[in-house]
This record gives sequence, C-alpha cells and structure tokens, in this order.
Amino acid sequence: MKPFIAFAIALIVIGCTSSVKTNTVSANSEPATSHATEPATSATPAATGSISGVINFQGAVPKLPSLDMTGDPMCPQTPQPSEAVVVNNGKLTNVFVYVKEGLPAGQMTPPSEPAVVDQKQCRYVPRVLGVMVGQPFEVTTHDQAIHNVHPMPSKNTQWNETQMPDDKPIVKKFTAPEMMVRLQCNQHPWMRAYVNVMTNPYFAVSKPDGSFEIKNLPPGEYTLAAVHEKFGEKTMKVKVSAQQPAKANFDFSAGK
Amino acid sequence: MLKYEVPEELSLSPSPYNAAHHRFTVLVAVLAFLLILAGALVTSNNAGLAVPDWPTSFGHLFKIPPMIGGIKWEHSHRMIAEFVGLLTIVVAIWTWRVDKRRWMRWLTIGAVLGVIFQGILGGLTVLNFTPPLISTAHGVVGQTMFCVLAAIAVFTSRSWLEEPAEKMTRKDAGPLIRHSWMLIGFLYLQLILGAGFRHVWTKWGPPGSNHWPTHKIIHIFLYPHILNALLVAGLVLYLGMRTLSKHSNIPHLKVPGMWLLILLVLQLMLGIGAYVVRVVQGVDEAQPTLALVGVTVAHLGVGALILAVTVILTIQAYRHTGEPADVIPFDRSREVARA
Repeated sequence: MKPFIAFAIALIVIGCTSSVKTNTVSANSEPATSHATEPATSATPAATGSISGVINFQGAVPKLPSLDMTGDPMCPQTPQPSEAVVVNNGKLTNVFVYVKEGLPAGQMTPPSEPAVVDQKQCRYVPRVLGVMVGQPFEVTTHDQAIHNVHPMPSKNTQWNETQMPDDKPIVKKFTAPEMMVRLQCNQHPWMRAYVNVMTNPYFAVSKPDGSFEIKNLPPGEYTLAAVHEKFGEKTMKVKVSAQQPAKANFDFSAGK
Repeated sequence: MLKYEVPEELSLSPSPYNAAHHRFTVLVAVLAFLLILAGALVTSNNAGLAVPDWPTSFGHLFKIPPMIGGIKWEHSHRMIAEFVGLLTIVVAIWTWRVDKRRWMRWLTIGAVLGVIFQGILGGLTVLNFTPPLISTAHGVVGQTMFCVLAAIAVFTSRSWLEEPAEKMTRKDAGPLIRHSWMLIGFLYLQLILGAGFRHVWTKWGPPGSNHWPTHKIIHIFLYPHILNALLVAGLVLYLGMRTLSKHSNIPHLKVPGMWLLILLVLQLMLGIGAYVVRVVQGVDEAQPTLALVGVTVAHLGVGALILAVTVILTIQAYRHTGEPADVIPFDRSREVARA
C-alpha cells in the first residue's frame, strides 16, 4: 500500500509543480504580437537560451505600386506605400521567424493576454504576427472606415465580421496550428495581415532594422525557419545553449 | 357531331403582338445583362464578402448602407438583383394576362423560379464565404437566366409571332441546329471553366487565402479554358460563316451569326487581355487595378452575350425551319392547326 501512497503523493507534487509553471506563462506580460512569450514548459530562465539574428535582403528591392485607397473617403486619400516588401538599409522587416523542428511535440499553454491586430489608416497593424493556439486573438479599430475582418484559414474556422467605427474589439481564438493565415478586409482589398498560429511561444517578427530575437528556449538543436509573405520560407539548423545566445542570420532576395 | 372549342386560356394559338409587353421583356433582359456585369464587378473587386450577412445587409432589409469601398459593389449587385427579380415577376404576371401560349406562360414561371434559385445561390455564396463551387454555380445560373429572359424577349417579338417570310429546308436546318447546340454545350463548358478559374483564383489564389499555387489553378482551369476557346472559336466561325453565306436571306439567322463573329473577335482580344492583367501582372498586385477590373468584367460580359446570341440563333433556327413538325421543342404545328 505504501508504494501506492508514495506514488500518488509524487503525482500530486508533479501536478502542482506543472500548474505553477503554467501560471507563470499565463501571467507573462509580454504581448505575443511582436516576439515570443515565456514558454509553458521551460526550465528556469537561467537554464534557457535565446536565438537572435538579422534578416538581410540582397539584390534589388522589388518596386511595388502605391496603394490607392480613394475608394473609401474614410481612408487616406493620397497614394500610400505598400507594406508587402519593406527593406531598410538591406534589412527585411515583417519576416516571421519560428522554431520549426526540435521542440517536444504538443501544445504549450497559451498566454491569456490577447494577440492584437489594430486597424489604423485602413491598414492592419502589425502586418505579421504570431498567436498561440487557444490564445485570444483581438482585432481593434481606430478608423472611421467600416471594415470587415475576414481571416482565410484552411485548418481553422473561417469567419467574417463587420467592424464599424468605435465598435468594440472582435475577440476570437484559433484552434489549430497554421502558418500565414491571411487576414483580409473585403471593403479594402489592399488590407492584408498574416497570422501565424503556433503551438509554442518561440517565435518573433523581424523589426524595421531586420533584427529578431527568440528568448527562453530550452537548450537543444532546432530547425529555425523564417517565412516572408512574398519570398517564402528559409530554414537553418541552430544549436541553443544556456551559456551564450545563438546567432542566426537569414538572407533573402527577390529571387528567393 | 359535337364541336369542341378550346377555351381561350388554354389555347396554344399564337398571341397577338403586344408592343408594351415585348418592350418590357427586352428591358428586363437588358437589366439582367447589367446584373451580370454588376456581379462580375463584385468578383473582380474581391468584394464578395464586403457585406457579411444575407438576406439582410448589415442587419437591414431595405436600409441602404454607405456605398463605399467593397460595399458599393456588393450592395449594388444585390439591389439590381432584387429589381430584376421583381421585374421578372411582373413579366410572369403580365404574360399570364396577355399571352395565350401556355408554354410561354410556364416559361415565365420558370424564369421566376430560376431567378429565386439564383438569389438563393447568391446568399449561399455569402454565408459560406464564397466557396468556389457555389460561386461558380451562381455565375453559371446567372448567365442561364439571362439567356432565358433574352429568349422570352424573342418569343414576345413581332417577328416571332408572325409567320416567317423565309424558311430553311429541313436538310439545311439540320447542320445549323446541330452545331448551334454543340456551341451551346462548349460555351457552357467554357463558362464553367472561366467561372471556376475566377472564383478559385479569388478565393484560394493570390488575392485570397493563397492556399492554392497559381500554377495549379492555371493548369486545372485556365489551360482547359484556353483550349476550349479554340473549339468555341471554330464553332462560332462555322456558324457565322454558314449563316452569312447559306442563310443570308434570313435576317433572323444572319444577324445573330454576324454578331457571333464580331463578339468572337472582341472576346479573344479580351481573353488575352484578361490573361495578361490577371496572371502575368496580377499575381503580385496588392489590390485590383482598374485594368484588371475593366478587362475581366468585359470578358465575362461578352461571354454572356455570346451565349445569349447562340441561344437566340438556335431558337431562330428552329423557327425558320421549313418542316416544323419534325423539329422539337419549338413545335408550332399544333399552334397552326388550332389557330
């Protein structure tokens, strides 16, 4: 009998420990819109590593036509630059970087804070973001234009809802991992955002200077992937240790 | 001997020409064509889901929303559709009142049912987020209803109600009728492939979710569409040349034949233009350009005209066949016998 009691106590202790870790993740205040959140099953921060790098763009930058938003008087009435390819000093922004392989299979606990997309000046801000399966996904508006928010997933449920000016945020959840789910507004066909639904919090989006950082990764060997809406996906092997940050730079070009 | 007289309301005899009735049916057919263009504008502007609810628009049945952005395309299409639906009901009521031909009366009832069915397909395409299968069916049924309304306009015309001055021999009519039916069949195939390409491209291609690679959509829909265009062009050339040469004494065959040739040239140019703006230039476009919208809508509109003209040519071929008892379904022998 005693072994059974000891086993039960051990199970309870493990369960409590896990729930403490889960709460730690859920309470993490870092928004998932720009970079990774605290992992659900990570060890103590001292025992984790990170990956940082830069997304370089080589060659001539494609010249994209300006956006004409004059179809709606509530949108900017002058030609607006496209955000499909944004290169600053040879660095590519809006590249979604994530751990593609090497993590234990399964779903990590999502944060309770929503991943937010705002509609501002008839654009989605940010254009590229990550959200975890089960994490609240919130769409807000600061426009006087009428929008309809319409994600077009293949593995998640599709929905299409109107958002009038001053309407309260639309809050949804994705139920399955899926890359580059396009968010579209059928009022304004130039409006596009890309939502990456992940089972783990180890992802980041390259900033205007092309840099990215994924924190709190357990040490190990991973396949890191960088995906851009126009130039597709690139991968590389990265070894993460707790002692020093791993470096991973990606090179993109118009020819992929 | 007991003399039996057919009651007037059951008579199959030709109706007297009613100018107002005929003009009204022409008006409805023209509006149905404008409705097709309005629908094409919705797809080309990728505005099919700009109004997310149906049958209401933003929760209202009659209140007109702000006509801006994608709403102006989608809601205009809905308003024109409701108007055409209403006018089709008027055509049916008017026909039942003034037209003695039983088949004609039931044809207008069929038109009303078809228009209602088309409206439901439009609603289903909105409520199901523009699934290509339903959206394609919506496009095909829409053009079919346009042809039906155009045929009703022909059936109410003076020339249809009067006995033709010239007729073909049955031997001459055979190839014309046979090839006309073949052309209708190939035009429907062309329509299904074209509509399938448009809706799959818009939904799953570059302007949509981007789930389908462009080459896959092109291989499945566009290349067969281009290949079938050659068959359609061959049949149009045959029918056009035949009506202009062999049946040039019958204006009701010669004029549709001539229009088929004119529309074919226009359509081939628009088809090439649509390929350039949609596939060559349009893959990376952030939004539909004026050229893309203009050319693709015109391509669809001319396609609808070619189908309608072919249907009219086929109908007129039956009408101008010398031995009507041998040809169905536009059998006028009983009409003549009972007149």
